[in-house]
Amino acid sequence: MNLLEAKGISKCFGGVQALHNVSLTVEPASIVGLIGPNGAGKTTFFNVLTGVYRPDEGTLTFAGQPLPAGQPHRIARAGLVRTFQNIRVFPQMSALENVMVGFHGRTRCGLLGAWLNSSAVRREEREIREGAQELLKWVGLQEMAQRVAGTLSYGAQRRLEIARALATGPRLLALDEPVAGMNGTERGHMAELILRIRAAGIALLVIEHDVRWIAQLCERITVLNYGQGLAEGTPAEIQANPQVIEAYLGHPSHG
Amino acid sequence: MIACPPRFKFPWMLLGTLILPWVIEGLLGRGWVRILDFALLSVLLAIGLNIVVGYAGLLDLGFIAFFGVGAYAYALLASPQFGVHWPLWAILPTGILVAASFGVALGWPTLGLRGDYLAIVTMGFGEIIRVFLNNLTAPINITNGPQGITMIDALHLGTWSFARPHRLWGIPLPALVGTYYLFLLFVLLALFLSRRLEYSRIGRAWMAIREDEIAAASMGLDTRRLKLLAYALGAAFGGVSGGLFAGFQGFVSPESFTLQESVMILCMVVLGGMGNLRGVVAGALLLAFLPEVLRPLGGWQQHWFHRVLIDPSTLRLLLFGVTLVVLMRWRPEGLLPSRARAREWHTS
Repeated sequence: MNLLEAKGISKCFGGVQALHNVSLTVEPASIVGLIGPNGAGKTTFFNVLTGVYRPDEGTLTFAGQPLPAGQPHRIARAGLVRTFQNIRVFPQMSALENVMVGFHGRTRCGLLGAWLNSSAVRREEREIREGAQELLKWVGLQEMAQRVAGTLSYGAQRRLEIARALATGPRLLALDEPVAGMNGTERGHMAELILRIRAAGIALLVIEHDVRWIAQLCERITVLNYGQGLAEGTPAEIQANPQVIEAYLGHPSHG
Repeated sequence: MIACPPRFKFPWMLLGTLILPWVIEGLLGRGWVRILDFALLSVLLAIGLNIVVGYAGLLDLGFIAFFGVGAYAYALLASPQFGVHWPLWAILPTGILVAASFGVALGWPTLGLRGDYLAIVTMGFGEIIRVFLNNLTAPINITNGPQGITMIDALHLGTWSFARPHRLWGIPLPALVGTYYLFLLFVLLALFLSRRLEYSRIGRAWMAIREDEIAAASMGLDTRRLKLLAYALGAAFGGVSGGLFAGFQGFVSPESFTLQESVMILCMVVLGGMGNLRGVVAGALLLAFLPEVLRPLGGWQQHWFHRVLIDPSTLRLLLFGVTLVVLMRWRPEGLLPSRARAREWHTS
């Protein structure tokens, strides 16, 4: 059974058809790439997927259940969590606090609990603090736990975002351009991290421009162009597909 | 550790606050104890608004409405207006519930709004409440209109009235000092509750919403519920303050709940240091006392220039405004900012 199944997703903004009849599937514990030229609708698709926007048409099924469209927090709690293209850590909170926020949906402490500060609540706090530290270590940020997130380097913020998303206990992690603006070494580290996440049994959906980088990572790639699905297949198929080459490089007769 | 609550220097602070009214009465006279009592109600209000503005980052320009709702709840339940005279322990929970429901009533339609838009809507809400208080006189006279409600029962617990002087172990306890202790109790309780929240899972979630609502929702935070909770709690604190105000003053009328007052409380929170309780308390005390300190301006002018050059009440407002401008120019993060706010202003 597919973990994620998006069928015939369409989304309009005024007169602009940002997405038209886009379909995509992700199998459990697999890595799927989503590529396409700028403005192809990749991030819009992510926003529809994670509830920032409601699709005009189409169905989203996650682990056999329909996704609650347009309700980001319920989608996240269902196990589909994302990172953002323009990094969105909580800039004034420490790295540790950032990750601790990720545990919110998995913890229970309510108003009364906070006021009474019972031993159960204290234990819960201790657990998520330790869990957060563990995750920071896992993404290689253990030294940065007390640093203010906004002052971390670009690459560190990207990894912090991933740690925060992992804290929610996702089954599918959607990464929006995780290596944008990174150099070769950093890209290597990110690829290694992505493979480790998959090894932990979490599926990944990765938006990326760099076809070569994504091709070495994933099992399948979906290509978007002008808001429509252009091609779908294995990395080798995609790299050999003339339509994809044209979409990226332009038609030979125009060159 | 950023996430651990810092400790108050408890015994000294407490001792200081306990003897404060006696010192003030001895040095400045009874009138100042009365001002101090009112100042504590402002502190309570500011603690409430701090939950909404400081923690959850929701700009609220109509906060005084909840103070008004709490005050009228007390006034209607303990005055000849309807002939009912509930005891304090029954009124306050009722006032809390009513104010919290108004908080949710304000929060619900504004959930999708942020920043300027939210400020405008909350401002309108504050005005709506005030206009209602002014006009709910027909077909049944509920609020008694602009005349307000008079002869409200004084604050009392059982047979102990806070409006009368008492004698404790032979020591005379003036009514205003007794009231001070009652209000102090509420302030300390509010501080305690607010502080526990700040360093809890809920406080952390509010902070996340304040920093980036979309990211917060994407991490599984039910932002709607959390925001409504902030509104309801802030309003509840405001409602308690309002109830105490009504019982203390014995009289309420709509003119105590104008936009001007909302702005004043917001100034207390921002000036003191949004999100940091110590700052909020300092800001509230400063702004509650400043206008009183500036009151004898006419006399000073007479003394120095042998005549009154500028109308004292105008000058008082002017100096008050200047103080706000100066403080915000040189200490935009507030007197005692929260760590996060200080970072915001000094790292970029």
